[in-house]
Amino acid sequence: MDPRNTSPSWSPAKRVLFRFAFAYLVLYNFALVPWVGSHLFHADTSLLPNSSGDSTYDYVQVFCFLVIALVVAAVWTILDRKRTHYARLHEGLRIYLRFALGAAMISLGAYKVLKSQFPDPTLDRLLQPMGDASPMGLVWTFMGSSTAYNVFAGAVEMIGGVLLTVRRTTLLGALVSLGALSNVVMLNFCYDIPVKLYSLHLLAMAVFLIVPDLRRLVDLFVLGRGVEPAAIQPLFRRLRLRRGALVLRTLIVLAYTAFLLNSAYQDRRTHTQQESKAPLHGIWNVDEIVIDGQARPPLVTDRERWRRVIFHDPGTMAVQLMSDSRVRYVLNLDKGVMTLGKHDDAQWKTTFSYTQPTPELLTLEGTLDGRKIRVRLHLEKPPKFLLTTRGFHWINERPFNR
Amino acid sequence: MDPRNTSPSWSPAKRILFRFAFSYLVLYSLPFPLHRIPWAGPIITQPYQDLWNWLVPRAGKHLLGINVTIQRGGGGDTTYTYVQLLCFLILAAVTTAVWTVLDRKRPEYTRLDAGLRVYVRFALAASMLTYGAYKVIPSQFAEPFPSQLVEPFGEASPMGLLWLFMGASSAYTIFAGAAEMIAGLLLAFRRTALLGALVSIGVMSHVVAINFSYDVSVKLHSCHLLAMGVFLTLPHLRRLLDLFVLNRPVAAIAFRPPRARFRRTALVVQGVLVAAYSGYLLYQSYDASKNQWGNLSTRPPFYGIWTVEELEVDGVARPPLLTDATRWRRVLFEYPDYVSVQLMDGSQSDYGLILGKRRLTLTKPDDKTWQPSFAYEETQPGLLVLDGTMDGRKTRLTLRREDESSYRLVSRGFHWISETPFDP
Repeated sequence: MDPRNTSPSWSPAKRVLFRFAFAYLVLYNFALVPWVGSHLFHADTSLLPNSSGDSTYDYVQVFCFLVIALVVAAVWTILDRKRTHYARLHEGLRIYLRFALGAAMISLGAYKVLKSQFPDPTLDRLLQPMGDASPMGLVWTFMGSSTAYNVFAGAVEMIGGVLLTVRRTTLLGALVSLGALSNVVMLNFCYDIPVKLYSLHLLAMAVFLIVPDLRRLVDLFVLGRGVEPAAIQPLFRRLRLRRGALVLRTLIVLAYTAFLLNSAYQDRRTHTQQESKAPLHGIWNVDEIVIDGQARPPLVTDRERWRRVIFHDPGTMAVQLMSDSRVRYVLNLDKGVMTLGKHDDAQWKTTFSYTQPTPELLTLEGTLDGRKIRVRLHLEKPPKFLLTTRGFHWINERPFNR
Repeated sequence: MDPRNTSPSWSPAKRILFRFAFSYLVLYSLPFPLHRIPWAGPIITQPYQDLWNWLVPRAGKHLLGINVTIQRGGGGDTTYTYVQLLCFLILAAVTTAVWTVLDRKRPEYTRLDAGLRVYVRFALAASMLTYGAYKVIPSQFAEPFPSQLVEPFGEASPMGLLWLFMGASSAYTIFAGAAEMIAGLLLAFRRTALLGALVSIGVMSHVVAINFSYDVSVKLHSCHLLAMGVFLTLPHLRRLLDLFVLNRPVAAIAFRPPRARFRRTALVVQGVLVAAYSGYLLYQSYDASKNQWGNLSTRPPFYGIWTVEELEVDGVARPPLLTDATRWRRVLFEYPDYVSVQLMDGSQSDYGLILGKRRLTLTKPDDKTWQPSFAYEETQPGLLVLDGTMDGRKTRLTLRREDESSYRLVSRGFHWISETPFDP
């Protein structure tokens, strides 16, 4: 049965809308592949904060997509006036979007299930006053402090993604994705996380996949009416081809899921291994600091003086000021010389020489913001943080809310 | 049409299971709907509560050999709640046994099942509306308090971190509450009940996951609400499977039509009741937010974070050195009747506060003799001088109000464009 012969014709408005949607969604997803590749698979957001999805570049790109899609829709409308509907092309676009969204959901989920996206809170984070964190930092800490919650959130996303790849369960997968993505979009908007554009697009794709079934959903869930099965056109007429496609799809989905779980696992393992091997790992208390030849007593009102220096992973040095506010530097250690950089300013650079006379003692000497600094530090005993040690309790006579 | 005459008979196992489910769910939900009656509810159901307050400690002692204290307010994952659940289970099992013996001959419970579903539906709807209302008008989670802003992450409990996370964004809290209220509203109407149950399952799975992951003491109750959503969905499992997995024709849902004459009136009355109850809950939340702890409450005098800039004891200055562990670092005014003091070592302690026109007195609940009193004066806006005697020594403090907007969590705001993620 060829849908071209049986489908009723579409209204002109619907045809124009479809041409635009087709052009825009294909453009967006084609451009997305390298973005996801570089941002999700190779970047750990806590290590590489340069991975904003809401930069000016991204907005201009989306604007370009819109303009191109409008032009394409206009030209297409003029050239293809006579066609009455796009049932088959729509079916093709749905398949494309199902797999695009499915792949995105599976990868979002895999990186949560294996707790790679949100690592455990770092030592400098645990010492940071909560008000000093950015809203995004708060979300990272909140998510990072529970493995169970990550597994839950990631599992929902993975289930949505896998359901999307199976044609019969597309609607269910799109609805699960809609639920999960609404929450993600809200998090991104409410806590100033720069993945707003990307998450909105994923949400829109889920909606696009649900729209054709809206009528059936309303019939069952609002009107209580019976519902006819969706007319599924087999992709191929020959049974052998159909079976082959089914096997191929299943294999690809399984392999892709396994690949993502493995990369998420490897990322996390590398991360924890690096942490445990990080030189100087720990919380260092500033015993003595001399700025421009002047010894600075530990006055909490001193805005320049350091209180602690914290090394957690090998690429970061965090300084806790006397106000307890946290400043992070990009760190590079090399034979007694440490080079510091700033995450948001690639030009900024300074070097310190350091010595570690005993494992518990450290001295730094160098120049920071035009001032000569000499610091003597000692390694603090690792504190027992309530947040990381509280654990699970079946019984609470009182809510343990501090 | 009487369904007793038309329904096929149930298997014995199904009948027994139903009797148990009926007994347990009714026991768990009682005294619903009486305790939901605005204002009067808690008073008229007090005797029922007293009965359990009498029974639960005895059950704990005789069945388990443990002492159970009655917690004010009830609820939560207390020993009391666990013992009460055990009582529910035992009572439901006994009821099921007796019922099975006495009522052997009945082939099915179609009508009673329909009644139970209506009861559970409204009980769940009321809970979803309540949880939702307290978020839609944020009172369950208030904006971050001064003591939270200055506390390190590591010293928060997981539940405390969750409270801060929710409180830090009113928009997110309203979103979460709206989802719960929508589920409740859908449940309140028969035609949309299945959709309401499904939305409830979605929302409550999230809540259960959070409660278990962040040690929030509402695990038992949230699990029950989730189970109620599942219970309401069960009869439609076949339909959902047909629609979402097998792509088969889905059977219509047969609603027993109410008598035509009352149909419209009944719907209008139901609509008005649901709207009125939702309005009442929203008002309750507004009231709590305004008069108890929420964002709308009038902040007490000096509300905020005050740094102890200068401290003089017997005329000798104690500079704000970190090494002076017991020196006061900050004074946090949050509530009218108590004040938190953060010491140089970071620890916080709470004191009772009596704030007069010119004098300010601190108290300790466990030491009635400790009552340092200070004359206070706000010499200029944001600068407070306290002069008095503490621990038998003349003490003079100069406090400066910290600008709360200097805290990134509060001041960051919303940004469409971020060239790099703002995540320091």
